Amino acid sequence: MNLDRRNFLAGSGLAAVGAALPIPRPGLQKDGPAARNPNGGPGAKLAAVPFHGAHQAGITTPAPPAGCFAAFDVTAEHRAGVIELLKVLTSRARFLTAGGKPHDLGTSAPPADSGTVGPTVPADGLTITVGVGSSLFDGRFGIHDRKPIHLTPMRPFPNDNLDRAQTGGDLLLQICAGSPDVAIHALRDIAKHTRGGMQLRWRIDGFIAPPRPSGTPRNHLGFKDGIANPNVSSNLVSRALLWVQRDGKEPDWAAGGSYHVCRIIKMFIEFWDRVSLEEQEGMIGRKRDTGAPLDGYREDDIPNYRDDPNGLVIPLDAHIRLANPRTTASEYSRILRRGYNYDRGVDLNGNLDMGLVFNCFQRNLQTQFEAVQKRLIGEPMIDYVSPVGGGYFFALPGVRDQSDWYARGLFSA
Amino acid sequence: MRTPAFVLAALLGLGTTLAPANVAAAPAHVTRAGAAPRPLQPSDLAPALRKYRHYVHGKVDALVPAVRALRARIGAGDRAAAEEAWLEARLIWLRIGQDNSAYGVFGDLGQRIDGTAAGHDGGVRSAKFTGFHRVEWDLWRRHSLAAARTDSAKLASAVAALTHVSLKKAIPTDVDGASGFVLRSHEIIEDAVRDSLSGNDEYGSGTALASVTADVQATRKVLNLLAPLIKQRRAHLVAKARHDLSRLTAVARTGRHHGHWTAIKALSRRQRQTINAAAGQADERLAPIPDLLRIGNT
Repeated sequence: MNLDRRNFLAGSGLAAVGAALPIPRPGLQKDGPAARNPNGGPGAKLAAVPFHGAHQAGITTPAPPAGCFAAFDVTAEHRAGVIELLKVLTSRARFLTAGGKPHDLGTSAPPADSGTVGPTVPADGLTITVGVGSSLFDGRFGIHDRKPIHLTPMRPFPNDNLDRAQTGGDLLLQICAGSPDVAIHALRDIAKHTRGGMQLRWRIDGFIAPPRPSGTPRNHLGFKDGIANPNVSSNLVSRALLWVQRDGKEPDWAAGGSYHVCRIIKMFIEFWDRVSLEEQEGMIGRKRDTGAPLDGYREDDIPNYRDDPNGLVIPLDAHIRLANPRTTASEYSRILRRGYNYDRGVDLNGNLDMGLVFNCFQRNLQTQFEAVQKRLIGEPMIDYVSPVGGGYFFALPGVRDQSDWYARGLFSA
Repeated sequence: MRTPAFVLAALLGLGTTLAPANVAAAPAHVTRAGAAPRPLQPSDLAPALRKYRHYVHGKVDALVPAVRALRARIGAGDRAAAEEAWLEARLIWLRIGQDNSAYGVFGDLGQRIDGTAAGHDGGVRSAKFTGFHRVEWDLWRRHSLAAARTDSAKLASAVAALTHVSLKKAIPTDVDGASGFVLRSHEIIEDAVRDSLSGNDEYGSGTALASVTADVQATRKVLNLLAPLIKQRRAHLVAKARHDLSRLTAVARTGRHHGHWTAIKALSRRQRQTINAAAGQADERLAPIPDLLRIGNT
């Protein structure tokens, strides 16, 4: 609360401290100052992220604090309808990510914009990353023979507990921004403009915490999450691990896209909080305070498994060791992670429903994400986490310019 | 389920030399005046483990005829009687106090006996979904005695395999066995909260609260066996934990009327809150036990 006594008194015209509050007469008493977040000023807004390019934004661009993940099913009934949908989606995303003044429709219609982010839409680092699910290629739209070769429905791994109501979808919109209101404003705007063409299937919001106290942000388990990512700023690495290439196997239109795995991973945080720190650290393979691997000092230290072949320092079944054993072969299974913490209410057993919206991007679903996930089957962590939804999507190639639209290559002859 | 690797490291005195980062965060061992038992060795837990094995043996022996009775009632075409027999048999399994996961002491067999449909492609229609919950699904949801006949036969063969498991190997008296057993003191009720009170392992019978009472019985057994060691380290913990467990049983039983249990989803909010409070409190109380009884700890 930011109740400033001096301003309050001055504003209400009360001179004597301690005087009884007079019965206010209309127009006499000013409103008190509202409580405001001191960090919420205009200076906190992020710059616009360029919308046009060979690749979509929201993959290698820095992940801003607010994330909204919305899976839709296409309700448009034929090829022309889905093309129209994708064109509208493109133009809305183009406008929203740049920011600006919404059209003024005058007084003859409801307002064009919800107004939730003010009269001028701020860009605030907004990115809208569109992915397509395998169900889009089911024959409704004449593109069944153009599916990216590794795109399948997300089948459950042995430790999953997938809920159909929050799994799959024809399209996934990953909407990220500097603040949650900007992300949800974008979702609301897009839904308004595509009402007949697609309908929400499931959605989940997430956030990235500020560094505590520094370095990689922490997840709800209290551990720094997402420390080790491949160096995709290297062209060589991003071609090998991230972007689908025109390689004669994938359909040509898919080049420049990337497979997007989105998994809603519930965390049983009450149970986790009742586990000793040493056990927690043994399961993860890192120190909780610094994020350093158990054989290191700093979070960016590379674990040295060769000197610890029996797992006396970093257990053989520690999460980081199974996920990335740091062998020559495992280098080719690395994934680009971009996780968001989620927190959404209460379970029947009275526990908090929280976890991680796990996102990773890669060139090949099977040899990267699935290979990593198979190594993790039966890891000790599975007692404390439960993947409950999400899906496999193909993040489309970038929208090149003003005349381009999402998936134009997919629908061109 | 947690790896015992750190226990090994601690036991061998390797933790601090191999892991420099451990130094700063090494937990302070508070020694209480007059009560400073020597570091715990696996051998200190061996008598408890042997008694627990004997207990498990008895439960497995009781499980065989209970599943036989279930099959007989299914065979006789009496669904109501079959449902009763199903619950009776499943509660015997739960009183063993072991996780049904692939990494539990019975490995994949635990999963075959009491696994859920989660993690199987096709869910309840998957052929890998077997055991008590599969038969539950057949009886309560599909109303199919024919399906229950096939699936209870599979359950019986998994239970028969259980009788051939070497309990000496499954529940060894070494570091692994000792630290795994100590963890059961709180993990059984943790599993009850996560899997049963969440409604997650519900396949039609609505008997999650009955299963919670069986989980309490299993926890009591583990607690009783560990009680002397716990009491040396924290005098009043066992009594308080027993009190919490009694409370949990009492409130879980409020979900039982005329021999029928109320499903979690059908409870009133107040009832659920009362049960969740009791279970959560028991979990919080039991949570320090694995640390108190860590091998190598005083």
